[in-house]
Amino acid sequence: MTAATVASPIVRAAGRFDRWLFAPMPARRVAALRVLVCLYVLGWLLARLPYLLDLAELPDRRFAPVGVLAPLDGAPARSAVIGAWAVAALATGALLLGWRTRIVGPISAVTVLVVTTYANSWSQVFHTENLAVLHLAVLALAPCAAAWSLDARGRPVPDDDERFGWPVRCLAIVTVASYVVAGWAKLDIGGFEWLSGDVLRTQVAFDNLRKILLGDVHSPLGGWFVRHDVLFGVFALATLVIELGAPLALLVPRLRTPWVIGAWGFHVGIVALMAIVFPYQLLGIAYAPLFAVERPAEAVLRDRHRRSSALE
Amino acid sequence: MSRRGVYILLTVLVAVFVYPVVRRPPVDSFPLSNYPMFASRGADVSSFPTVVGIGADGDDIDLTPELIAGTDQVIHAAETIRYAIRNDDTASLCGEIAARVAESRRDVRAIEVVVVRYDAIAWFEGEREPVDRQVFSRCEVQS
Repeated sequence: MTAATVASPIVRAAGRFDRWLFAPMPARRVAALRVLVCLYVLGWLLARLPYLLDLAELPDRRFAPVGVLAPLDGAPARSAVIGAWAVAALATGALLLGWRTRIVGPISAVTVLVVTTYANSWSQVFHTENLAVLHLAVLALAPCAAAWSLDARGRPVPDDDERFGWPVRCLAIVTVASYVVAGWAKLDIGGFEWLSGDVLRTQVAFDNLRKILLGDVHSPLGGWFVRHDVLFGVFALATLVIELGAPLALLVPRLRTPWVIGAWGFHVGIVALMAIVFPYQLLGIAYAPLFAVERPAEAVLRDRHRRSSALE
Repeated sequence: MSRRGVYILLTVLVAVFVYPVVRRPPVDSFPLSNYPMFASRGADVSSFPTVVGIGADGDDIDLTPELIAGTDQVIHAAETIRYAIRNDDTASLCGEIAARVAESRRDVRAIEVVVVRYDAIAWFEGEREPVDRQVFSRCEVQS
């Protein structure tokens, strides 16, 4: 067996991956993803401003910086928090409209990272905005305004091209990778015992009781399932199948939709059992890179154009 | 972006996901994380740090995460209490909460920072008495 013989399957696989990564895609698909992600991020910034202002009032000793804020010795001033928030909101709004995207894209990605990191720097790291932040970072580096944008107004929509393909593929890889890592963590930390459902049952009981004791919204359904534990083994198996099976959504086209339905259902289950909301996933935006999300909008625009032409 | 640039970006993205997992101990930060949610079993009997209000008749009064931690996030509230206990700072936390309570709750006379221990599963099966209750700080609410 020669080195060439060993290498050729690897070379062929690399070539297939390259063709997959750079498959030509419509400019409108990347543009649609830009709009969806920016709408979500902008909504988050607006909805969470009161929370961010609450954090800015907390004593400095409770600041436990993580990520890019880890080098800080103390909590940023309230004015700095508001300033970062304002820049993030303006830049993300401009990116949403597709205006000066080469400039506002990176500004949006960096400032949103800073603001969301700040929100996670008070003794508790949440895991609900990681995916949106990473998606925004990819879009900030991508040609995401070649269509449906102020930057592109007056210009024809480009043909399908590989420069619009790789952003979509990277966004999809980020989505899938987040699930694989979460599934791996369960086996890494909990071992194969996690499949028994006992860990999940304990977690559901613990989380709901903590919420009850702290006067927060909890899940009565979660309490009911804790008392009737037979289904937790099924829940645990389904969780790991969805999380570790996520790459199939990329590799096997006919499994994409069933996987997304399963993943979305998984998050619905988390709401039902633990009253924990992952809005980016529940709104479906996390899975948008796996689909031709531009088509509904294109259909509406075509229909509108047909109607206005018929009236002339 | 050139093809080389795309592959560099892809390598960075893969590293973003792989690094938190392979590092020992694993990294749970933001946005780099090993997403350890729901992964740990925990003990049969768990500690629940909480803060209770004490009424004029000595009864416990439930407080909200907003009163406890100053935000609406319950996990943040729990971790705030746990952090104060670990750093022997419950007196400051008690005073901070008492000041917030004084502005909005006339029925609360005092605050206690406590840790109660429950078998969470048994709690849902009807066993509501705590296994243990430890008071770390008590402070009066100024009316």
